[in-house]
Parts: sequence; structure tokens; C-alpha cells
Amino acid sequence: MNRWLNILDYAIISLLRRRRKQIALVVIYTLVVAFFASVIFFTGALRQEAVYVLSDLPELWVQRLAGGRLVPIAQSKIDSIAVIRGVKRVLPRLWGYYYDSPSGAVFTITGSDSLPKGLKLLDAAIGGGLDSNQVFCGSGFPETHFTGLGQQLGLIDYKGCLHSFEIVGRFSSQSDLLTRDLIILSPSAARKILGIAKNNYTDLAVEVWNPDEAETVGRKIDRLFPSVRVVTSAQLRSTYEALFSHRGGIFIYGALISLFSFLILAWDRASGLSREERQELGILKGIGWQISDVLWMKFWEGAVISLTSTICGLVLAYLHVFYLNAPLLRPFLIGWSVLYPEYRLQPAFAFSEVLLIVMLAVVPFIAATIIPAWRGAVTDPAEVMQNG
Amino acid sequence: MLTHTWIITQTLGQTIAVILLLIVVFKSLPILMHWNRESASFLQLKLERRTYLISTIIQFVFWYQIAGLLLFLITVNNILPGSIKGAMCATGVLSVNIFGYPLLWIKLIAVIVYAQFLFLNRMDGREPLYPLTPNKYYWLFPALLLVIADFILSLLYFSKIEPDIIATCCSISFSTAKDSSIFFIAANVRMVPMLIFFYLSFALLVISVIFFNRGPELSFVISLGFTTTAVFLLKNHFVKYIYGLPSHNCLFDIFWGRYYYIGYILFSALIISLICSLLLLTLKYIEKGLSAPVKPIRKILQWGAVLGSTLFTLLCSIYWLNWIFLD
Amino acid sequence: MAEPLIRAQKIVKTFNTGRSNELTVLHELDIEVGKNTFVLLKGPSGSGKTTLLTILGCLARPTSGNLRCMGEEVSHWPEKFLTRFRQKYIGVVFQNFNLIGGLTAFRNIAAALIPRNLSNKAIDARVRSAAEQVRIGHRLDFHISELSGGEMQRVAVARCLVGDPQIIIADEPTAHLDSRLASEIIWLFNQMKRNGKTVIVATHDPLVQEQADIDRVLCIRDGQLQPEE
Repeated sequence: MNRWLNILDYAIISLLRRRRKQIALVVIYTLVVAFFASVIFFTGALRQEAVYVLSDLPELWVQRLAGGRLVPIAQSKIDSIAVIRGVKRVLPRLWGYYYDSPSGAVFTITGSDSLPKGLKLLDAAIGGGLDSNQVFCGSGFPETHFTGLGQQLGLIDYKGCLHSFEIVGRFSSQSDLLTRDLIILSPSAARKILGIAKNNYTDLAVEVWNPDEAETVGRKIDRLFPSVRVVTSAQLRSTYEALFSHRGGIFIYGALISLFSFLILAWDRASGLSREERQELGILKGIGWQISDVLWMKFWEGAVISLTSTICGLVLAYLHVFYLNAPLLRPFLIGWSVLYPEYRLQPAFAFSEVLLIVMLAVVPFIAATIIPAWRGAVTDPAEVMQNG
Repeated sequence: MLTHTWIITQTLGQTIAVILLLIVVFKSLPILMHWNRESASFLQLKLERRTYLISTIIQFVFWYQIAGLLLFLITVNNILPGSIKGAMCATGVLSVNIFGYPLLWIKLIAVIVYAQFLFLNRMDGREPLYPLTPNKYYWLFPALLLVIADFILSLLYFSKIEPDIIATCCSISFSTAKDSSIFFIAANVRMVPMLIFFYLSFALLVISVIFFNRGPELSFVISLGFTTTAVFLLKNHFVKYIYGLPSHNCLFDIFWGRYYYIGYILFSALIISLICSLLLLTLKYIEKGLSAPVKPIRKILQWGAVLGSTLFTLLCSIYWLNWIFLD
Repeated sequence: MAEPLIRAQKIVKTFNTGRSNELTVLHELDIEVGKNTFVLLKGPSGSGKTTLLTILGCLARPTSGNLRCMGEEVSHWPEKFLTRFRQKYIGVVFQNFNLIGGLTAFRNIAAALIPRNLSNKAIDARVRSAAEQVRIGHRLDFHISELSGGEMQRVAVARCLVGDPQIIIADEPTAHLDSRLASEIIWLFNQMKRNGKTVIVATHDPLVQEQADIDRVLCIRDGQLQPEE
């Protein structure tokens, strides 16, 4: 035990003594770790957002398809579905996308009389439901257009006519991801803007009494109406999970390449012992150090360097992703950067991510230094006398 | 699923292990071919130095693979059940395709092989004359095979996990809940012979390890019997008392925080006991060539075998008795 | 005492065995060194002095022949055991001081104790006592680069003494020192012998032969012992 501490002590002193040489290595190492830790934190945070978003979804979701395209679904379907055994409630939904040319962003328009559940009004000018010339909106629109509560908001309908609405409320939710760009109109106004005929809806959300039966009910709906597509929230969740995993995974593999190029550097540096280092190891062997002592010293050196760099890299990545909003990664995730120019990620990262980063950063580095360390450690103890 | 963070970590870890073991086996070939203890030649000196490299790498890989086994258990017990539909615990996760259980087995066997090599290496390092070199290096070949098998199986297993295919979980393990509570408390009748065998083999193991120094073969065979019975009974009998559910026979829920991660302790105790009795057997065969005293080593191994099996038996019995006497 | 401290029989040392540049440096040497003696090893450079010292000091193995040291047959021991043996019984003073640059005198001396299982306190005490013996105690916290040549040599001697060895091996300890400093070092070696240690010094500095408390002189030429002059 004492021996290990003594060797650790010597390793740290020995590193500090050569700190100028180590700094370059630690800086590069830190940057590499910061890069792939950023990727992991970023994709992890996106995935977390998706989980928040999906947690409020209904179990089933019915859409109508014609020629593979989504088309509005008629009122009559609601009644037919509502009578199926196990269905608790059918909620027709009106929504669509709206391209806003001045800001170049895409907003989501939803038709509803009141605020959907899960959303929280930050400030409101009215108490009850929406009139046909009033809107609630997420924080995205007011910010991009520099407007606020009580101001007018102009939307162009599908025929090209401009309609003006008064902003009567601003809302937020746990996740900014899907609500930031949301605009809520009254159903009739939403129909006008989105071009959906009366008695038609974008799709239907179906609540069931027993979530375990969702799959069965879904299959029943599917059989009854050949032209519809039924999506279960479980499917959606898996798809999202797979999508985020996939996207993140590809990034991680990309980041690994930088890690490996760094390892080659580390290998190169560690294997080419300088004359001084060689002489020092020779002296240590000469004054009674065992091969295993030198190996331990080199191991501690590697561990100190890699842990220092990993911790610095983790801190840098955290700041980069959660305080600066990942300015260096945004351009790569094009979809996000266009949709959410000012989108802020929630600081959330899991133990597994930190574990992954530590595993990826520390283990390969130490593995790559074993052989060079051994080369130094087997220096002949007699060499120091012969070279005298 | 190869893009899941936990899985990337393990795949990468396995890749490093394969590379390191390939280096080790490649470097040990000249030792197997040219080792000559009497010689003072340059080659011999070089080979002697190389033995340090090999033992360092194997030690590194050993600890690292133990960590890998833990990571794997955490992944299948605590992480993947969230991503695989229908899988509530590791039973479902492991049986999601045919590679799951073989992978777990390979990982366990690999730990035993590393332990065997490190033990031989340790015993060899105590002697000035290298009595076990080069023969101990033959153990590197099974280690390499296992690590490659582990790598390939991991890739197959993880890549073939489709999150949208519904896994059948331990619903099969839920025995029909018609057993009355009397039976539940007094132990299922079918289990009685097994339970007798379990406690008997435990007693025999302790006795044979402590008192029959000359017959480690016997201890090892008993230890094998004890371990098998222990796992069987844990799954079919003791877990019910750990969970406090009469019909829940899932072996893997004991790895959950809800049950204080007791599974990690139980299985560590079991595997330590098994490894120690295996090493006692090994010690008997190499003892003749050794000059340094082996008594303290044997004592440690005996303690390991006895304490490991005792801890397991004690913990399981406490859970069981707790139910009998509380009700 | 029935057995001498060191008994070397038919020591042969060949470098690069089995290669085209094979070179035999020592030819079947026989040496016996008793306890508490001061042995001077003389010979021109390239004669095999240093090689013989590495073998007597258990830093290297002979190619063939037997070496008994402190009652142990060490000639075929692997490096690990030789090193352990050296830690226990042998201290070495190298030519050119061979101190580790950038460290303080204290850490240079302590480096020899690191492989042993000693607490910080014990290391501290031992280093200070060794430093006092060679009268360098007041300079322990200085970096090697701040020390004079004589002080550096004394640090090197302290490092050799800190493990309390029975046998002290020195290779050209007075090289690069002026005669005043050389005398000081020779005085230190005499002190060691007075303290009951066995000292083997290889040098061709005549000053050593003049001032040291020498019991035996061994001459080596072309890897063979010459009769004493």
C-alpha cells in the first residue's frame, strides 16, 4: 500500500517537473474529450426532450391515408371509432405546419378552444377560451418577430389572404422542443389557415380505458377502416428512441475517429522516450526499482493525465452544450438549427453518459500506453553503469 | 441497437480486449517455443522481459473484463428493459435473441480462465526459477478464444436486438399462482429434495475444503454440484422470499436497486467460492514444482471457498427463514 | 566466517550472445571478497571493470559461472529477484553522479526508497540520516541544478547509503572532481569501511590508491585478472 502511494507521489512530481511537455498533450486530450462528450450530452439532451414530449401523447393515433399521403379525416369516423369496445374517448385534432417567410422558420399551428394539457400559460390577457381572432403562442414567435402580449400576429392562409390575430397568451412547458414553435388558434381560424374543410380533422387521438389493450384496439380500428393508419404511442416512442439513438450513435462513431487519431499521437509520444526519460528510467532501475514499479509509475502517470483531461473535457462539454447551447454542433444537426434558432437545451445528463465518456477516454489511453511503458520499464539496470 | 451509448461502450471495450489479447498471444509464441531457463542468451533475457508485458496486459484485461461483466449485467438488468418492449427484466432482454444467454456464459467462463492464469502467474512470480513457464502460457489460447467469442457474440446479440419486436419476458417464469400460501411458506414440496441436497452439499463443501487438503478434486466436484444447485434453487425457490411474491420466479430482478442489488453480492460470493475451489485443485497439481511455501496461499483459497459459499447460503436462508418466522 | 561475502567463480560475460557482434568481456574470473574490506579495482578503460562491477553488484547476470553473494547463489536469478536482493544488500554510486534532474536533493535520495514499503515518515527519517552522514543535510531542499559538483556527488553517495547496504559498489566516483573534492569523497568511503561495510571501487585515479584505506587491489586487463602489483 505504501509502495503504491510512494510511486503515485513520484509519478505526480515527475509529471509536474515535465509539465511543459505534458500541457500540449493534456490540452489536445481535453479538446478531444470535450468534443465527443459534447456530442453525447447533446444527443442525450435531445433524447430526453423527446421523452418529455412523448409522455403526454394519447395511446393511439388515427390518420387517414390516400395514395400514401396524409389527408384530412371526416367527422363520421369519430363516431364509428368511439363505439369500439375499450375506447374511452376520441379526440379530433386540427394541426399543420406554417412556413413563416420573414423569419424563415416553420411553426406548428394547432386548433383548439383552450390550452392543451401539459402546457402552462406564462401570461394571459383572457380568462376563458379563444375567440376566432385570438391566439396563444409559444415563446418562439414573439421572439422572432419582436412582438408580445396584446400585439397583432399576421398569418397567411392557404389561399394567400392575410389574417390578423391578437396574441392573448404565452405558454411554456417542461420541454421547449415541440412547444416553442407552437401557435394555438381557435378551431375555425385554424381550419381557415390550414385549409381543412368543416367537419374534417387532421387526425384523431384515441384514448383507451386500459393502456395494455391499445395494441388490440388499434388492430381493430385498422381492420374496420382500410384507409387509415394507426400509430400507437409505444411504436412512436420506440421510433423516436431509435432515431435519436441512431443519430447520436453516428455522431459518437464520428467522434471516435478523433479519439483514435489522438491515441496514435499518444502512442507516438509515449513510445518515443526522450533521452532524458530513458536515462531517468535507467537510474531508477539502477537504484533498485523493479520492472513492476516502473510499470506502476507509468500507469499512474497515464491515469493522472487521462483523468485530468477527462474531467476538464467533461466540464468544457457541459458548459458548451448547456450554457452556450452547443454552437459548434448545431450546424451539423441542420434540421434543428433551422427550426429552433434560439432553442435552449435542458441540462440533463445520465450516469451512463458520463460512464461512457470515462470508458472511452481513459481505457484506450491507458491500453495504448502499456506497451511503451513496458519498453521503458525493461531498461537494463546495468545500462546506467555502462553508459556512465 | 449498436448506436446505444451503453452498447457502444461495451463494443469498444471488447474491441480493445481482443486487440490486447491478440498482442499477448502473438508475443507469447516465442516464449512457448524458445524458453530455456538454463540459457543466459540474449534471446532468453528478451523473453524474460516479455513475461512482464504479458502479465501486465492480462492483469489489465482481467480487471477491465470484470468491469465489463458488471457493465453487461447493468445493461441487461437496468438499461435495456427500458428500450425493449415487453422486457421487464434481464430474462426478457437476454432471450430477445439466441445470443443473449451464451454471451453471459462466455463472460463468466472468461473470468474463471483469467483468474486461473493470473493465479499461475502469481505463483510463478514468487519463484526465482520460473517453474511454471512456459506452460502457463497455454492458458492464453482459451482466453483469446473466449474474448473473440465474446466480441462476436456481443456484436451479434446487440445488433440483432430490434426495439420494436416484443420480447417475452419472465411471464413463463411466473409459475401458476395456485399454490396456497401454506405451501408458499413451507417451501414447495418439489423443492424439498433439492433443498436437502443444497444444504448437504454446502456442509460437505465446507468440510472437504477445510479438512481434506489432499483431495481438492473432491472439493471441486462438490463445489460444482453446490453451485449448480445454488443457482437452480435461487431461481426456483429463494427468489420468492427475496421478492416476497409467491409466484415470481424471475432470477434477474434481484439485481435491482429495489432489492438492494443483492444479486450482485450473491453471484459474486458464488463465483468467488467456485474459483477458489478450482484454484485449490490447480495448486495441488503445480505444488510439486514450487519452492516457496504454499501454505498461506492455500489458506487464503480455503477461506475464499468457505466464506463465499457460506455468505451465499446464509443470505438465502435468512430471506427464507425471515418469511417462515414472520408469518 | 566460513564463507566470504562474495565468491565469484569462473565468471564469463558475453554481450549479444548468438549474434554476429558477439563480444566476450570477462573470461572466467575468480574473485573472493571478505566482509568489511575495501577493494580497489584497477585497469585501463575497456578492460571490463564496469562489467565486473555490474555483476558483483547484481545489476546483471553472468553468462556463465557462479556467483554467491551473502550466502545466496544469485547467478541465475531473474531480474526481479536480483533487484530485490540489491535493494536489501547493495548500494551503488555511479560515474557522473547520475542524479535525476529537476528533482530536489531530498527526492533524489528518497527515490531509492520508493520501491520499499515504507511510510512517508520512515522515508523522511532515513533520507535525513543518510544526508547527515555525508554532511549534505542543509542542502536537501535544493534542486540538483543548484548544487555544486561536490554536493552532487555527496547526494549520490547518500542515495547509495539510504538503503543501509552491506556492500557498496562505486564506479569512478572521483571522475570529474578536483582533488579537494575527490579527497572528501574518498574520506566518505573510508568512513563506510569503518562502519563495517564492504566497499568495491573501480577507478584509475591514483589519488584513491593513495588516500583510501585499501585492503586489496585487483588489476583487470582484457577481461582477466592480473597478478597484484
